[in-house]
Amino acid sequence: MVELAEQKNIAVETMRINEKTVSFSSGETILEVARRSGIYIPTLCARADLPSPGSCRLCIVEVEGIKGYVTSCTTPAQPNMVVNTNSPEIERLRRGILELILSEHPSACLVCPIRETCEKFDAPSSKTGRVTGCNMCPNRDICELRQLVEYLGLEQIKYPFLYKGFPLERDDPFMDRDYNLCILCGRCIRVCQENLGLSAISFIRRGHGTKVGTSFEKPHVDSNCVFCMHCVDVCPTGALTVRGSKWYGYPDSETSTTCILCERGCELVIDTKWNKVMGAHPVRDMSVGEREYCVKGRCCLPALFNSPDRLKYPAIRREDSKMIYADWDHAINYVSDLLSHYKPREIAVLCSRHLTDESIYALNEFARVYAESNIFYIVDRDVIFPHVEKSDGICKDVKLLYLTEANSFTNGIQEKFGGLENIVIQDIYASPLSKSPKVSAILPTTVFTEMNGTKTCADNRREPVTKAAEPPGNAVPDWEITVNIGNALNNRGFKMKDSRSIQNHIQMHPWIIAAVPMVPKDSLTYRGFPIADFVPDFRIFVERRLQSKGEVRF
Amino acid sequence: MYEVLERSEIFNVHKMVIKAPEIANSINAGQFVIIMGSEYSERIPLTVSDWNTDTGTITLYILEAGISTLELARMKVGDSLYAVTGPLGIPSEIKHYGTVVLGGGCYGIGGIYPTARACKEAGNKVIAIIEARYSPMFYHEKELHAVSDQVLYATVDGSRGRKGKVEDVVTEMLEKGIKIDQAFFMGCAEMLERCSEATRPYAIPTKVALNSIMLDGSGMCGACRVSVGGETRFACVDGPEFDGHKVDWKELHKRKRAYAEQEIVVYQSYSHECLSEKKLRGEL
Amino acid sequence: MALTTKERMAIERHRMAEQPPDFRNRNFEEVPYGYTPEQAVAEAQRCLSCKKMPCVSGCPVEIPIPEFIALAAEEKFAESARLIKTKNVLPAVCGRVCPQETQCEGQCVRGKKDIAEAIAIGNLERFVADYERENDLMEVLKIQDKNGLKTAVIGSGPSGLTVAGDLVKLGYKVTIYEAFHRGGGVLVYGIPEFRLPKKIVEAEIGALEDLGVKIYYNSVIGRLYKVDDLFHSMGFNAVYIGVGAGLPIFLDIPGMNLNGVFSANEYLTRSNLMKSYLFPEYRTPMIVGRKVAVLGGGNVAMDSARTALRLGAEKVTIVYRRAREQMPARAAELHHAEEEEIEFRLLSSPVEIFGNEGGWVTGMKCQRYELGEPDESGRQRPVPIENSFFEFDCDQVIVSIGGQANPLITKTTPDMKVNKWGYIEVDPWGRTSKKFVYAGGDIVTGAATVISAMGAGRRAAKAIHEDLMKESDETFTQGWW
Repeated sequence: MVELAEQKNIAVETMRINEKTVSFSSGETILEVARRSGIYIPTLCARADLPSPGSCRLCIVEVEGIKGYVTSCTTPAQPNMVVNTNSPEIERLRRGILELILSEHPSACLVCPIRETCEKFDAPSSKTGRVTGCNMCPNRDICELRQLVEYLGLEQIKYPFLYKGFPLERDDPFMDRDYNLCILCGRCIRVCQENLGLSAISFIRRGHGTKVGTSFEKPHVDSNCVFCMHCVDVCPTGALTVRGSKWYGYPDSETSTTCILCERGCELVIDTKWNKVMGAHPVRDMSVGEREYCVKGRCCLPALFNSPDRLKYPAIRREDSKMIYADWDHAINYVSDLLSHYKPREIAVLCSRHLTDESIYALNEFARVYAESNIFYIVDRDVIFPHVEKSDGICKDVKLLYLTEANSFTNGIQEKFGGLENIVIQDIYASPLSKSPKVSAILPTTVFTEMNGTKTCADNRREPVTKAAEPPGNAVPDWEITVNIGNALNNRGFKMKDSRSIQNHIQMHPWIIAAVPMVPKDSLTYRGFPIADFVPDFRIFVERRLQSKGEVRF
Repeated sequence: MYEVLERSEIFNVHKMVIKAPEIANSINAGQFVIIMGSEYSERIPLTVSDWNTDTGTITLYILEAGISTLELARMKVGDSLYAVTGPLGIPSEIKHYGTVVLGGGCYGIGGIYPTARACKEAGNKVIAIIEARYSPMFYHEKELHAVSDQVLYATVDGSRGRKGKVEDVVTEMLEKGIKIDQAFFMGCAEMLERCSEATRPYAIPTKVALNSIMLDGSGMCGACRVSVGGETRFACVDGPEFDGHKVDWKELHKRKRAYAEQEIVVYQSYSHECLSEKKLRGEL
Repeated sequence: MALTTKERMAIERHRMAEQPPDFRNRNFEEVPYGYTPEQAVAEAQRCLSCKKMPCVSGCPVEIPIPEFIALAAEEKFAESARLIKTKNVLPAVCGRVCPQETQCEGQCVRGKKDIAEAIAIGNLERFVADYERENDLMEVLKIQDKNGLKTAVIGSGPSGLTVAGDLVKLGYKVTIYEAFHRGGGVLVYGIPEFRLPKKIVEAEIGALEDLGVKIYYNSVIGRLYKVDDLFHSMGFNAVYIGVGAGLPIFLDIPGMNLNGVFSANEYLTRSNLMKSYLFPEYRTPMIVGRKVAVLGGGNVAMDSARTALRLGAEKVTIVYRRAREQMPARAAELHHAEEEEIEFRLLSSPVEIFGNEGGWVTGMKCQRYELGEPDESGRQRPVPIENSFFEFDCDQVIVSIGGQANPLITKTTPDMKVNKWGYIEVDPWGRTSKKFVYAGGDIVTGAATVISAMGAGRRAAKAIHEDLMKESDETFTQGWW
């Protein structure tokens, strides 16, 4: 910081905090200087990445020459200032302030002498509705109040407990809110206002009844809240929680990956428990200003990827026209056998934009070698057919469709492909099309949290995709299926073996990836399936937004 | 069927009055029902806190503490439960004991009421002791006062009655030399254990209403088995009340936590299907 | 076109196509796909229509087997199913769950040399019943005019459904009391989906309801009402008790109450009735074991083992005290279990189950047995070999060693006689010592088969009709049987 200031030719001054000389640049507050110098000052409302309102008063410090105590988060540092951040008197005052804050927070457990015995007996549970004590609070392990109670050694609260008695707010999609736990620090309001410019929430009502809410106390879904959950990430208490993930408690593991639901390609940490996606959150030490993610990646993944509708086992059509499960060897042989019965130009391969680079490349190569460029991409429901011969908009030649996004094809397949005989589906969910008698094989594949690879996102960034969870049943990544079928056909020079060889190919032919259209930011689908079909909370959100505003913003 | 006629919430304890005339007609103090909120629900045992044969209703106090109780907590007047099976279990043994102490915490505050009423009718001196974290968390007090000679309070923050829990009040009474002929306790397993330990040194006959995990409630599955005095008993048909001094608490605590993991998984899909459906129906 | 005996003899037994073991052991769909119509006809043509009809004598409900097979051979599948239904109201169920190899098929002349060569009577029964149901050819049965008499049936299992079906056809007002929230008894809570799809049971119960049978769910008789209440305050003329055996038996060895030890009843009820295999859509949780040990050698043990496999167990071991030949399980189930690579540790019996700090099962200690002298049931009695202990790791134990009589009803009906094991004592027609109270199925015999419970129900229905007609002093209507 000092170096930075020197580089930018900003004046560097010095001051003393707790007998330690520290330098600062003008405009910094005492709190900022202290934090930078490794001196701890307790705060509940201030955060380094948010503007400071000076509302919790816990950051009070002594400044020589100033009568009384000042809040360090709002007092600018001055040259030669002498600051003391800690003294018995300051501690006493802070305890008093904390006591007042806690008198409106269910805090019996925070200061309970037998808390440990109690936690030994009562298994901690965040499954209750109304939180009346720490053992019920989903936030207990990262609670800033609890940390402060321990830091200040608070043993009792002399004020009577005043329960605010707000009803639980559990009717909005994705989030649960219990403002009886809220300490009115205002972080959520500031993050919504300053960082996102949405100002969906603000303090409402007055006095003891003050709470955070939308204008006219409309449900969040009817406000301009976009459910990005930044407010949840900054809340120091358990007042705001993400409903889908809170019961899980701590994840077994956390894996950093890239969300490929749209072109933005946000960095996301996937929480997994029992080898399943249980939630996702931003990289923790990233400041809120840098974070970019939306409700799709933050909240929809568990329900989307753990859906019981996921395809789990490959299925092929038996001679008596019944679909039966088969193992991969059988399925691969069956499909390659099927493909070998058609002339290359009778086969059309469809490539989903949601595939990873490896899968797209493998599919392209496969199509180029076998189907002689009969590959096309989907842009929502409009299909681009660059190379398929058409007359009156009907592709008469195509007899076998190889789909990686079957749901985009549920309607109109007869009209578009007059002479269609067989369909091979390689997808993640069962779609209405998979019941069609023309479907001869269904190959289950993985979603992006279940595979390794890369994905080219906006601005030509190639972001890593990392495996975080186990796929259901026998599903395998798209590129693997393609490569296996290609190798089973064996006689036409398809040479890819593993993801590394594909990587090499991609580097040599980057235009193949570049030819695939990007998924726009406001896309509501994953591989042709509306996310709303699998995440009902998302459905509510989208429907309400379309109804009231005519568009969905993320 | 099984319509919800009345609903209210007292700090996470949900009162629910349900239309179930057959059950109201045949139930006795100490018995319970097994409830399914919807076709997808688990079967969970709940103590019946009151009933009315005239209106054909039963009253339940449900502590919201998991997925099944969340589902019940979100039910409104006019909704219907999918299944209410009961009465189940053996009724409390009611006779003339002398002085009877009944201790209850969370849902047990309502749960001890029928036994208190029956004991009072049998001519006993009834002392009810109820505990909560804060004073506003008490409920069903008026009714309890009506059937008790004395109602004592215990709160964790000391805002009403004695600071502490039920067992502290019991110990204090016993130390003072107050004679107790029979004790009944109802509440979470942890509270039952602590209360049983409090009466053990004084050899007070102690009955505790166990709430182990159940499935069918008719003795068919053995999910609810508990060790009492070295013997395996089924809480659903041999209980729910057992001698608190003989129960193997360690085993009970462990058995009660058997499904902690699975319950969490279910929450995700629940929040999606049910809350959203209600919202779609325009109940938001 | 009639075939000659020689031609018939030349046809080989048709096996039903099945899901391959590697796939079915991970899904809950039914294992055999069933016959195609062509296969059914060909299989039916194998029947020699012999005069002696030994198969019929092997059937507890005496289905006219050669006749229904002959109809099937003529492709009159629906007629064939209806013919079976005159004797057996649940053919789609029995075709799937009966131990045919010890009943009809065990008597078949074509199976004299090799049981595997007998006519596939069960498969055919299943096929014609499925054909009728799937093609919407089920006809509503004719029922006689209401006779004004009311009968209560406790339990909606196979015997209860049989009694209800027979009586409602005779004009009785029939009310079934079921303790669970779904009807079907053991067919729903006990037998897994992959062996008996529940839609079949639902269809059968729906058919009964269409006939006017009223089913009250969630009604535990013995608690909600006593048997006497049914007569006095509810005004029933007769009561049939078909509540099944009920209480599970646990072994008296250390570690039986550890987490992860289930009775087969609990395990199967969770999976089947509460559908926890569809967890978390259905919210009843199920602990998925990695290494599962199943104690016992009956059908229930096989069902539990195969359910465990489908729920995701890596390895399932069946621990059984006797030898394979003495396993009471259906041959097809044993065969399926072996195909699905379930391990068998025969002639072994557990002596201790080990647990960890948290109270969860970690392993098991067993003792080896050898076969000794035959006991009164004719099976060789297993004798423990001294100092022949062995241990293995497991994290789930399913106890499937049978059950006891559930005392809920017998205890609240003191004037009804029970034997020393708590089972209800009845005469051959299902009459108990209490007037107008009848009983049948597992609560009389102890754990047995679906078809024998149905046979008992059929006889009891006849007895109820006979007794009530005598009582109401009306002429006994002939020709219904």
